[in-house]
Amino acid sequence: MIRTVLAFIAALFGMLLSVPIIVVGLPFWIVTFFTNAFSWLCEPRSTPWQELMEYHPIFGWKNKANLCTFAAMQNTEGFHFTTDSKGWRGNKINIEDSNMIVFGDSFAFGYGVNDRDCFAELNPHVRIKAAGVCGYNMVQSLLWMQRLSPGLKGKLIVWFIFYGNDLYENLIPNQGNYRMPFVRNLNGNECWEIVSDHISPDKWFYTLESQNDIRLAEICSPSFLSERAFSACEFLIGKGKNTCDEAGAQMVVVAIPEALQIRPSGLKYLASLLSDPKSFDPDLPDKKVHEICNKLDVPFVALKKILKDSDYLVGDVHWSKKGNRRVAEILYNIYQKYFSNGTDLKRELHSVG
Amino acid sequence: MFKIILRHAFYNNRIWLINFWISISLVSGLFIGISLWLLSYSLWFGFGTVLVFLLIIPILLRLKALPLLYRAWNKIARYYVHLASLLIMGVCYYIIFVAVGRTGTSFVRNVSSYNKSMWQPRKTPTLNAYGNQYDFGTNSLTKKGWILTFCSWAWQSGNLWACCLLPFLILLSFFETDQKTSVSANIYTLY
Repeated sequence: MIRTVLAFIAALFGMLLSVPIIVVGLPFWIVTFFTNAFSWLCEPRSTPWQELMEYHPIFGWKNKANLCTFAAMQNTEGFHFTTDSKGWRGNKINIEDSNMIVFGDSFAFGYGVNDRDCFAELNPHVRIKAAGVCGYNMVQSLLWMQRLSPGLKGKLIVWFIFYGNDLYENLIPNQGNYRMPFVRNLNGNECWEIVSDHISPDKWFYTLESQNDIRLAEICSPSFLSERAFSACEFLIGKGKNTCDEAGAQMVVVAIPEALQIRPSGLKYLASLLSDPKSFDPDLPDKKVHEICNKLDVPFVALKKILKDSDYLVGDVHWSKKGNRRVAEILYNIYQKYFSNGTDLKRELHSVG
Repeated sequence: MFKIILRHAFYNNRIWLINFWISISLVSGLFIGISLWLLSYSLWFGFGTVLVFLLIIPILLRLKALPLLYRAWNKIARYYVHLASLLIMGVCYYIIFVAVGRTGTSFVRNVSSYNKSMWQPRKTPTLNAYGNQYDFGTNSLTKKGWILTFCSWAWQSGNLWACCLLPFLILLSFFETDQKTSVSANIYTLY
């Protein structure tokens, strides 16, 4: 009791001493308050993500169909987007009418930019369908590829692989609270299998704090995780290639670096996460995936050599409008090489990536 | 809403920048107006209003300067936050803790059921604490809010005096920034 009384008196005295500090900070606080308030009044109301996505018994989740709404983002302004009758981004072109389909996660979805600024909508000369869903790993993209395979004939299939989390998340059964298909190693050798029997709308029973940066750093160095991640990646790209070959489509792998792999400060930061910072090699994922693609005879484009820091949003891992424009140019380049020239795409793409 | 530092990532957002400058102009007009009023100057309202417009109009005609001003303002705010945090924590450490420390410590003997030592047998953590190092779930924190969680901890653990730290902790929470080296990956609320 005495302690509480003493603490109360001391706190009163402390608050008295803090008054000048608060007074000096008042202009900052008022400016921030009004800026936030005015902006809140000006900005369009965004729909919560729970209303934009729905549970799916095979893929874990998917976009809702026929949306035309604003989505909120954590650190930057929200964006406007539409989905078609199947739930894919953009309502101008559907999968059947497209000549290029981009599979992948939020990068393939065009997260962070309005429909008109999304890479899929920027070039009128090529009909690109963005078949990406936020939070997907490569297993989910592959399952969609397999499901859509009857309609892929003659199309160019671009598979976006984001190094920031895709390689790691292929190996784990959950994305936060949500269950997702993943790959499981068989008997400790190079064989893998897709696991999806745990998919249900129930919450996954535990979640860990996000550790993507550490995992990326580990994947960028010779490590146990790195070996497993690339082995699983080879299995998945191989499956994707077989699916496309059987469907009569051409697959291209496009590797997307995490912005940290481009920024000098990011490289330092990633290296510092390892017990042996010297073993950090930011180009290791590109080298490994390139090797895999060479082995499987799949054309490969590494965006790490092409994208710049300014192509990414500030405060978010996704591409800015500028980044989307640059990716649209690259996709058009790939498209031209495949459709117009009719040349060996694998050989031709060396000049792109 | 109650943070001191403006959102770093919005320095290129046109609407956000315009709102920032309108807020700056209003605050300047308000402070000058109040100062003149305190000095019993009869035209305080007129001067305040003119100042607001004098500040708003030229900058709205030259929007390109706004990102620079926005970042400069945030830089000054960051210096203030750094210094103010140190001072507030200093007040807590050198005044409140010293006063509480004068009352001594209550020795709580918590001998385990084995009655042999102070060591506690390790139990299986609860499900919501699974990702943490200690047996402490963070779910209740998000459900109740950190202030209520803190108060209930203070009450239950017999540290009611810690509630006197609350005004300072709330003040410190205003000083948080939104800058990170990388955005946390688990940004999705899916269904």
